[in-house]
Amino acid sequence: MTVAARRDVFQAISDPTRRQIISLLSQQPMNLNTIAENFDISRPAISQQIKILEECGLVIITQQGRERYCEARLDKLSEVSNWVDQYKVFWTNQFKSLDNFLQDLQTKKKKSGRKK
Amino acid sequence: MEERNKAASDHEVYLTYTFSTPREMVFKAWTDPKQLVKWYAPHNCTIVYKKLDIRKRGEYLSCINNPQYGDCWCKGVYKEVIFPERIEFTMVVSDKDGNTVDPVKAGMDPDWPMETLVSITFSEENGKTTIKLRQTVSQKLATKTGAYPSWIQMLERLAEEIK
Repeated sequence: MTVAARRDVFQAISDPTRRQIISLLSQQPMNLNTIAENFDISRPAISQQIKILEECGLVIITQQGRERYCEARLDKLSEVSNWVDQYKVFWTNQFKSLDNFLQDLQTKKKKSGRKK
Repeated sequence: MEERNKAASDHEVYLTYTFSTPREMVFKAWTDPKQLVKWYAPHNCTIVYKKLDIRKRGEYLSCINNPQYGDCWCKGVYKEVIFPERIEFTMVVSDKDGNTVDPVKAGMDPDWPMETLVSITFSEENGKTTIKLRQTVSQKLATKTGAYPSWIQMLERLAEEIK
C-alpha cells in the first residue's frame, strides 16, 4: 500500500533544510542559486526541497529568463496555530458546560437552604 | 503563583475561565465522580467511567459516546490533586480495555496527540473562581514536524505579521 505523500504545512516544516529555506525566504524573495549558496548540499537537492515547499503551498516559483525566483507564501503557517486552537474549542465548551452545571447547583443549594 | 514565561504558553493550549461560584465548589465539580459525569461530556455526548480514582497516581478510563462518531475511550493518570487549588492529569487515547491506541486507528485525526498533560489551577477572588488550564499539545506538534517550539513560535510570528 502506498500512501500519497502528505503535502501540507506540517510536512513542509518537518525537514530542517526546508525550515531554513523558509527562514531565508521570509526575509526576501530569492532565486534558486542564491538559496543554494547558503547550503552545503547540492543545488538539485535544494531544488527538490523547494519543489516540496511549493507543493505544500508555502513557496511560489516563477521563471524569469534563466532564473527561478522563489517567494514565500507564509499565510498557510497559520494552520500551525489553528491546529492548537481546536483544543481551545474543546475546553471552552467544557467550561461552558461546567458553568451551567455550577449555576444549577447553586440554585438548588439556595432553594434547599430556604426550606430549612 | 508560578509565573511561566510567555514563551511557554505560545505553543501550548492555554485558557482561563471565570466561574461565578466559590473555588471549593468548582474544584469539587472536577474531583467528585458523581458531579464530574454530569458536566464533563461534550455537548450531546454522554460519558461513562470504567475506572475513576481521583487522587495522586490514581487512574481513570473513560468513554465518551458521541451519537455521530460512536465511542471514544480515553485513559490517564492523575499526577496531582491538591485541594482546592490544582489538578494535573494525562490524557491518552485508548481502547475499552485501557490499552493505548494509535489515534489514527481510533478513527481520530492523525494529528491527535498520543498523550497530553492537562494542568488546571483554581484561584478565587471575591467569591468568583478563575481556572487556568494548560495542555501540552506542542510536544506532539514538535514530534510531528521535528521543529522545536522556538521554531514553531517563529512560524506563528511570521503568520501574524502577514495577516
